[in-house]
Amino acid sequence: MIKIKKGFSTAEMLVTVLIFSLGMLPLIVLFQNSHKQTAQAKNLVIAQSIGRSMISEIKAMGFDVLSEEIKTSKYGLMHSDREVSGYTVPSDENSIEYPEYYKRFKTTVTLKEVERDGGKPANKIQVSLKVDWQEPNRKFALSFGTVVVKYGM
Amino acid sequence: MVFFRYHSKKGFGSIVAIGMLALLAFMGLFLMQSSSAEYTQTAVSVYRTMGRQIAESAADEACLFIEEELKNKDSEAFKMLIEAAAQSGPPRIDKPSGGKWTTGNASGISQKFGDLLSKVVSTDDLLKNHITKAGFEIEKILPSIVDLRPIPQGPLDYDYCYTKDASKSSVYTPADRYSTNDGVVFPFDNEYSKDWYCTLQIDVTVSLKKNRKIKINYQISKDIKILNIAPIARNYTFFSILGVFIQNFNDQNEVNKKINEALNPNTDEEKGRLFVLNQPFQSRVYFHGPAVINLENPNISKDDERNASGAYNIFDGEEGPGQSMAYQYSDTFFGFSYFTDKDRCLFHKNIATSWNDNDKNRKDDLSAYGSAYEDFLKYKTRMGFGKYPDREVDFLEGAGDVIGDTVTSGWKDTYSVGTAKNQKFLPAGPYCRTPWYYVGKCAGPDGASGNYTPHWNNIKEPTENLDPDDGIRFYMEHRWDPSDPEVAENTLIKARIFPIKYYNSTRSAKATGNADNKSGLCDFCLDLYNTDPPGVLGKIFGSVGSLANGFFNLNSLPFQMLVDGVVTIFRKIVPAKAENAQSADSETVYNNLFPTNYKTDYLRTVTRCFENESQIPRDDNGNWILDGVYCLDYLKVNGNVHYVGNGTIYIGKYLPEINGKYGPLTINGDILAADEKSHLNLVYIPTGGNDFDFVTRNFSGESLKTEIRNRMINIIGTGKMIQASVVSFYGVYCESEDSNLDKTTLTNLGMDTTKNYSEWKEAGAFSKALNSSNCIIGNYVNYYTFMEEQKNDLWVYHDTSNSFYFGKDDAGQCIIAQYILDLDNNNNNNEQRLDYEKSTHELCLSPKIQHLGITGDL
Repeated sequence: MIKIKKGFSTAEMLVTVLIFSLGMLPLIVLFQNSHKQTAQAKNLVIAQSIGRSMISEIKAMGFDVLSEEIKTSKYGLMHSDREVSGYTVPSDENSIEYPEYYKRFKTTVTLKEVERDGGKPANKIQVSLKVDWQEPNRKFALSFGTVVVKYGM
Repeated sequence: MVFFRYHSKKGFGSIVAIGMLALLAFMGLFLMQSSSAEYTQTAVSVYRTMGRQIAESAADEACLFIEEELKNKDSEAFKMLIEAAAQSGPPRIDKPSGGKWTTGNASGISQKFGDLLSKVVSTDDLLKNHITKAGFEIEKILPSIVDLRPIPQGPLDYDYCYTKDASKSSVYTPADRYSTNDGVVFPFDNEYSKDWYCTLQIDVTVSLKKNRKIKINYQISKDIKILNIAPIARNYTFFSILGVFIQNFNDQNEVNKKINEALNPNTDEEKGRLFVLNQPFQSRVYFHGPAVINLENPNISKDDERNASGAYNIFDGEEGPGQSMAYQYSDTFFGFSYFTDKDRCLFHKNIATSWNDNDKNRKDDLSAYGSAYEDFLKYKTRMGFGKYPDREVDFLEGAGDVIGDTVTSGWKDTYSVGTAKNQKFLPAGPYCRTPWYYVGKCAGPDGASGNYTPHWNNIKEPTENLDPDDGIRFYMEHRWDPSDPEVAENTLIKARIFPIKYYNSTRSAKATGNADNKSGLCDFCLDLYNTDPPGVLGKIFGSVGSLANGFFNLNSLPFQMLVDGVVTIFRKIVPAKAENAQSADSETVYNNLFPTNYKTDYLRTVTRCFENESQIPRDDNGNWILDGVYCLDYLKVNGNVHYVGNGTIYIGKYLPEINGKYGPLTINGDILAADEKSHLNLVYIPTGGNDFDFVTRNFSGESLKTEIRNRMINIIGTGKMIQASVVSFYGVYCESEDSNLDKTTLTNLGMDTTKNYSEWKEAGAFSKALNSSNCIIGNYVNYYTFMEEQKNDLWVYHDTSNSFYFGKDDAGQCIIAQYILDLDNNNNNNEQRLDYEKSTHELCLSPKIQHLGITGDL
């Protein structure tokens, strides 16, 4: 009497799993890439937010403060590869504290007075800001910039 | 069968597996696509933000460029802007030619600037060297100036304040500004003298060229004010807009009491004087009411006093002015001096009905002022025919002649007379702000000697009105040098009785058809027609250089002071002594009270607000940087300060002093220009917006001295100098460490009225005097003059070192700026005016963004 087998044989299962696994491999890459892009987009938004707020803050300081900063570094505005952490306003503990996640971002700020003809005192300061962060297998950077002017000179 | 089923199961599993794989692949691809799209959208959002930052940066650079261009007073763009602004007008006022005023057309400036791409080099540098990945590009930057209109200033918005109009005038325009040739008046200011506002609009287009095409149109606009920083009342060394403060005009006794209190305080305090140093032939002085100003009549002087007190001495053989040309500040009965001397201005009895009165109820311009001003403006001046007095005819005889004379055709001159119903010698009634000039018969071409017949029916006996003491007169001293015929002619003050052509009232005088109407002076300025030929000053005073060195050799003066000439010693004003009010018609509303560059609302012109002096911008040398109109909560200056630039410091409120803050405007030090190009208007009008009202006295006549002093500029110390056009609502309070210089002391210092100016110069009289007094270098404007509150002496020098007041003629002689401006009237152009107004106007761009708009691929 022939015993009728029900379901899959071991070999069949193995073959199926093999085929499925082979098929899943590129899909996993797809999912991984998708996840990466989502994370990159999130980081981009954060970098944009950091850049936008920093540029706005620097612009709001006005020409005279920035000019003094260039001469004395009194306010610690100019820096290189500084981690984004702590309070948004360092001297104010009531201000918003950057989330732990932001520590992966680093900022670099440079200020430069634009020389004028005829030895006149400068009335423009060029502000450059770079926000860097590290993705799992790649470094990202977003550049911002503006010009702060002094009216009435 | 079974085998078949076995194979059948195997095939199904593969299909399921492949199907699941396919489904997962599809999901994965979809997810991938979704993530990619999300990232792309995020990136675009990021780029848009960056694009806005770039556009804003470019707009700022463009605004800075335009500001630099427009602040350059020699630039064509600034000239175009002033010209366009002068053609604009308030939106709710009709143009003389019909229709409403429009905004100034400044499109020519936009076209001149064109695309400003090449001017935003710093932003462009950022794009090329820093923000490189996205491929940003600025496509165009187009500026435009819109909404160009005058800053509203109430009654001064009307065009007749600035343009030739024979029928109206809201600004003070002396009668000598009347042209007999074309029958129009020429105000000191014109349409180029206003303050304006406008909007600078920048349209920036930024595009993103890599990967995706994005284009953002960014529109930013900022406010601009173009402000006239010229001195207030630049032609006047001293200008008192409302004269003496009176609270209640309806009570004769109170009025008299107040005037007496104001002008003749019964206190033991020292009585400060106001010394006004004018530039000969050019400076003016204006004091509103309460009376007319008569020349002391030499005809009645004692023989040995004529030369000292006579205005125009007809007995010295040369028929010239005496050493001291004294203008007495007095009161009038119907234009008749209360002084008992017989030789006063006399009026015909028909005077009250001899002219038209078309302007009786003109009050429209007053609405902007509210009730505070109305009382000051409801009287009018009238004119009529009068006659010169004659020394050969005594008073009563002359009065009888006037009364009996009904024929006016032979009368050669017109006079002004107050005709308020209750003529109480009010300090602020416009009727009484007409000065009078008396000149002996030799002064005028018509002579008009003899035959004066006083018109009067209620004249007091002469003994009731005594001549005031010498110490309470208003002196204007003029030096006449007869040693050289040319000098003699040109230093002679041709003071005489001129017709006063105030047009609100005197159009009727014109209507009398008097063919002998003459151009005249309506205030007691020196004779403007008596121009200074080159060299005359030198002949009188020596060389200008030595003059400056001799008179003003103070080390603290940062400039070369050239002022000299007529010295007005405002010691005291004669108190009113008139008892009887006279009946007459009610007077016309009359509001042309304001001097040049007057603002009815300084707040509208403010460009920056500060709490106090410490916040005023300073340069590396510690000088104040003036640029525009600064509004301070309070001002206390301790120590010396210099300033650079042109600007106004305005303090518009007063709060009681608390812990060193607030309190009255107090200066304990020098405020001086660092160079000849800098100018300051210092304005203290502590009214409105706080708890102050205008009343400084109660109805019992008691002076609220603390309150008054708080409303005055307080100058504390000795020898302090304020180089500015000083405008103070209640005048200046001086508190010197030294006592005032009495006449003897002044004489001992070298100011001996029997000696000439050269001798004054050699004695260094002014320098010595200033060491014991405080002074204003510039000019002095107030609403009310409280001489009894001034306490110590104040000297005012018309600042000839500043081009806003004075220029130089071809011979290098000092010449008042108004002369230069008036050349345009003769040449039918605006070249001189435009040059002057360009120099006095400051353009201020607000750094704040007024409006922001973004359109495009958002």
